[in-house]
Amino acid sequence: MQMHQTVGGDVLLDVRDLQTHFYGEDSVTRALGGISFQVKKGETLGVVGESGCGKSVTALSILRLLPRLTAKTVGGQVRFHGRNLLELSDREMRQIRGDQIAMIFQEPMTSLNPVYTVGHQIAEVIQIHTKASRSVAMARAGEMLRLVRIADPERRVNNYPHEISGGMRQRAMIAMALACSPELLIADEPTTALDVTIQAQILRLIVDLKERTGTAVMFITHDLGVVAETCQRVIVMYAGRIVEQATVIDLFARPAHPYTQGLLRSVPDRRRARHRRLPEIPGIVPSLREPITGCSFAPRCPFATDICREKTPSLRDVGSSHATACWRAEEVMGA
Amino acid sequence: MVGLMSAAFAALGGLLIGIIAGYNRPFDNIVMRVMDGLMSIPTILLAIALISLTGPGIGILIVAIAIPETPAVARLVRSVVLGVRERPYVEAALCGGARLPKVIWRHILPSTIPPLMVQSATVCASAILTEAGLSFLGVGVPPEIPSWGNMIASSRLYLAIAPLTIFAPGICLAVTVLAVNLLGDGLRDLFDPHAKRRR
Amino acid sequence: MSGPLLKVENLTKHYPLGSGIFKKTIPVIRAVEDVSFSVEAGETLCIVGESGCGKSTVARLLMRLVEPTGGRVLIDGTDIAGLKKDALHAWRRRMQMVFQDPYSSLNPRLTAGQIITEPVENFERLGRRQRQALAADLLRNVGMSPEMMHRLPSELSGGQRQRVGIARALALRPSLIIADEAVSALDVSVQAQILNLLLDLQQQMGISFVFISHDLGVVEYIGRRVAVMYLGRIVELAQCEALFAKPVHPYTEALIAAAPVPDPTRARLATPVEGEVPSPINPPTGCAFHPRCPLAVERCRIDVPPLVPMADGRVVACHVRAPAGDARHLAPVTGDHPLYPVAMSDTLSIRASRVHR
Ligand SMILES: Nc1ncnc2c1ncn2[C@@H]1O[C@H](COP(=O)(O)OP(=O)(O)OP(=O)(O)O)[C@@H](O)[C@H]1O
Ligand SMILES: Nc1ncnc2c1ncn2[C@@H]1O[C@H](COP(=O)(O)OP(=O)(O)OP(=O)(O)O)[C@@H](O)[C@H]1O
Ligand code: SF4
Ligand SMILES: [Mg+2]
Ligand SMILES: [Mg+2]
Repeated sequence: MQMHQTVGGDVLLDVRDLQTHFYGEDSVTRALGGISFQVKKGETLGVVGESGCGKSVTALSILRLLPRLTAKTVGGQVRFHGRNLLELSDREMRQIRGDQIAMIFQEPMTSLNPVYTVGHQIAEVIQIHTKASRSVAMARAGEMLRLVRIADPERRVNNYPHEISGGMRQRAMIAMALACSPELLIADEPTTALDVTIQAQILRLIVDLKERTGTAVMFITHDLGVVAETCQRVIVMYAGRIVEQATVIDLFARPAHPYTQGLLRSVPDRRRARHRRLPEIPGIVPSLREPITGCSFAPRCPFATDICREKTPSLRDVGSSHATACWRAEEVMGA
Repeated sequence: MVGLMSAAFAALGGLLIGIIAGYNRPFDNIVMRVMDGLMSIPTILLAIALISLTGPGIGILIVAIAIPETPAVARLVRSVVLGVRERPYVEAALCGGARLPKVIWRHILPSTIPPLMVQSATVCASAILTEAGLSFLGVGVPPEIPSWGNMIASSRLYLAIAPLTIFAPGICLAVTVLAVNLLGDGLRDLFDPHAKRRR
Repeated sequence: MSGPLLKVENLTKHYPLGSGIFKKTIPVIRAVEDVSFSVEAGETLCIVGESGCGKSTVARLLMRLVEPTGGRVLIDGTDIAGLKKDALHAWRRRMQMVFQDPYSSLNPRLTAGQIITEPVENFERLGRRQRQALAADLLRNVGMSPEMMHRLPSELSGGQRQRVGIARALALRPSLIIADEAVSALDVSVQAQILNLLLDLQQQMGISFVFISHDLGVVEYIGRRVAVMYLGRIVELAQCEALFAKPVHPYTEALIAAAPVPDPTRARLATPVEGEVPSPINPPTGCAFHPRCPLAVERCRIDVPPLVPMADGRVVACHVRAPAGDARHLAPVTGDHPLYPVAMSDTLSIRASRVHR
């Protein structure tokens, strides 16, 4: 079992030992191999890791939006206000989605309905959750668009998604997500598809809105730079597990897991001498189809010893609010 | 037999036209309009017209059936070619110094084969039907050569006395067409992993 | 050798929007507009810019996968834009390309060995043994084991596929490799592997690179000189260190300020540049950046700024920062205040204080 910090009053979301599997024709993908973490009120929690490590599946499992036919959350709990979301009825879950927990997806085009105007879609969300009248909801939709700094919101409410730019679509998505002032916003790579200058605008917007409304944000990204600039706490995922959890400052200053360390070092950084070899992580990510014995990072890990290959490490504290799943964390931090 | 040959001819013709059309804009514009024209004429009428121009014979029959089936194949191949020629790996081959015929042979042709096979099966099935229809009408296979269409046509007169003589070839015909269609489905599943997974 | 390996002069590409049988004037996408640069032997030139600014189009023009609307591409002084088919075929040996997407740029039906030896077979006949030896050699060059030559692309990881793509580009021993977003689709840890590989190959074989990317971190790591593109034009071209230390063009400055820095202690959310990248179908008049530029003056709305050389050898196209005429004597100053001041946002300062307590 993994360790839990005491559940204080300020914990908003408490995920315990969440396990999600995908079922293929003749294989099982263990996309989440038992992850535990908490999101506190009003904080920004970053979730980083490489492609396929289970970041999106984590978000979808929490919101119960996994494809019904192929995926199943086979174990664990998702506690939100003391209730286990995994046990709620579909109707109760719909109430929570959008009202208390909202999500922004990576590709805004696919999550906005192309046949309705932007304003209509935002108003609909508002109507579902507040029972406001149509005109009130539309007016509020206009306000939301202004809040996310879309110029000329009166005109934009009547635009269809394809008539506005990618950056504006992502803003519209944010407006929709925030329309009912949720307590938790899950943003899955909200800026990955955007240009850097537009990304900077959106990040700034999310941080500003968060400060104003006190919404907690779970920020999923693979970009360490984005994490450094927006988050307070970070969890690092590798092959369907959490390998490290720390404040952002600690994580960058004293990474305790060899994977985190490798990840941080392999980012090209202007402060290192140029044209020197980048430290790389050798090898490739393991397949989640086969069960993994021992530490999933062991085949690529420069610190690996026999125990790493035999026993799976669980998260343990290596400092105040700093935990890692590595047998040799002390040596890693010393290195 | 006639069905198979017609399908082969239609597939070859369609493949050639489709590939050239996929690579040559002016040719594409002209030929595809012609193909549209051909497609809008009912198969049987076109075949009857062709045969009445030259007189009956197996060879002309095959051609007469193949021609109206060609446009569908050509369209299919062209669309595949247009899709594949934009693929980065085709551009990569060009960058590597490959000449156009080689690129087509090595990178484009293989992608057109699976859909072509599937389409050919369909064409084959419909060619068998067309042949039977034409023979029934008396403009198909010369009466001295046995074919199901001919059999049905000649048994028509004895329907009251010996109904089996008309049903037997009819059923054979239906079973064959069904079999060829199923073959086409099977080929599609074989070549298209997505279709397979959906089942 | 005298003169640069690759010289590009006034390269322009307009894509027509639809065919114009019924219209008198066909609207065009101005994908690349009057682009000039040169690459020395053994050098790496980077091209950066945001999506749709014409980076890939430049690469495709260099490889002559598309025909230019205007301008010249000279390799060792020979204009390849004017070459006939056969001569072009021969010139292909000098330049090779590595593609962005390691998935779609390899034919899924061929094995890795077939893919990487194909370019050579376009020029000479190879026996079976020769082909295998060559494939093994090339694979070793890119740090893969020779057994991999029998694998299909679907049996390789993303990083391995990109290595196969690089091996294919190396097969003809080119003097120039054009890498269009060659690491963008890869995870950071794999990206580091590929960047190291490219640098090693450059050192061993003296290959020149035109390295196209939208990631400033990568560019800063691998580039010697950097060209910044905005809406089809080069707006600044400078030595890598100089560009990052002191961006002169307001867009370069915006781009650098917007790139997230992976260091929370220096965490700063710069006030980002306003507005969106305009459409290349209907670009703004004058300087294409003027609707977003905090420095824009009247003239920016009217005249297209020319590329003006500055004292440290860079060229910049900006009426305010590099006024034409006397700019040769101008030191590259960026003004007293940065255009995009770095502000500690509240959460960030809270976070910082929490840690320093
Ligand atoms: N619909 C699905 N069917 C089968 N397997 C899936 C499905 N969705 C995800 N997976 C598997 O689950 C694992 C985790 O996927 P997930 O989408 O969470 O990755 P991610 O961390 O979000 O990656 P990325 O950064 O690429 O978005 C992957 O190995 C993936 O193959
Ligand atoms: N074949 C084409 N036909 C028409 N327009 C095109 C074509 N290829 C590119 N364009 C247009 O030319 C412009 C420049 O495209 P290009 O692909 O060169 O951009 P890029 O800088 O590579 O962008 P990205 O970073 O997204 O790859 C874009 O507006 C694009 O829509
Ligand atoms: S020319 Fe003018 S508008 Fe363009 S970047 Fe320079 S200052 Fe801004
Ligand atoms: Mg994801
Ligand atoms: Mg591109």
